[in-house]
Amino acid sequence: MVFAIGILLLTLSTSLSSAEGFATIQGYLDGIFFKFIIFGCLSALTFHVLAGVRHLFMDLGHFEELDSGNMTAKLIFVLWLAISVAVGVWLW
Amino acid sequence: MVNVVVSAGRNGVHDFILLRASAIILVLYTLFLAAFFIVTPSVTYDVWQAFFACMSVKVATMLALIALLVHAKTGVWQVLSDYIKPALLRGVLQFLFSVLLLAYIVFGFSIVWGV
Repeated sequence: MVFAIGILLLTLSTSLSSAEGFATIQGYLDGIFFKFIIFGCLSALTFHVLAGVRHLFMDLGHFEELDSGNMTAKLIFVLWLAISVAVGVWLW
Repeated sequence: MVNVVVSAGRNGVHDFILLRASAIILVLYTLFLAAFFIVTPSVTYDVWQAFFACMSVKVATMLALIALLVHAKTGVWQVLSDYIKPALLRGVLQFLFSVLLLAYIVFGFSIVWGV
């Protein structure tokens, strides 16, 4: 995650530096390599956020039993796949 | 009581709270950016530049990076203290990650400063 944020910060820096920099990033995003890296960063971030929010709910005392805990674990996997597919469709 | 001087919050309970408080800030910032991309049909340079020229976006971005320092400092410590047994190597890695996270804040500040 730390390195993913670094990649996203570098992208932000270049895209905000100038109109040419923004076009450079757009050009990179047309290529499969950079697109896949950004997809990987966003997908990892999505999973981290979903699992983190689940963790916060457990801190509050919800879903701590075996059945409900397994259920929410599966739920975030389903949500993660769905959001990752949506992000993929949006990027491609 | 053993004092754990390497922890960001000086004790475990404070670290616990800091990790979760910073997590909430990071989730809100992530949703904020996601909402921007969802409601903006086509992100051109003008739209992108105007978005980050807004002072509240700059403040939110810096807030998120400071929250990231707090969040990732503890997160990296959790991973390193689980998996890196030699104390010197663990200390060096913790130092390098902490410096990297501080550099992110300086980098982020310089990114949004001139926009």
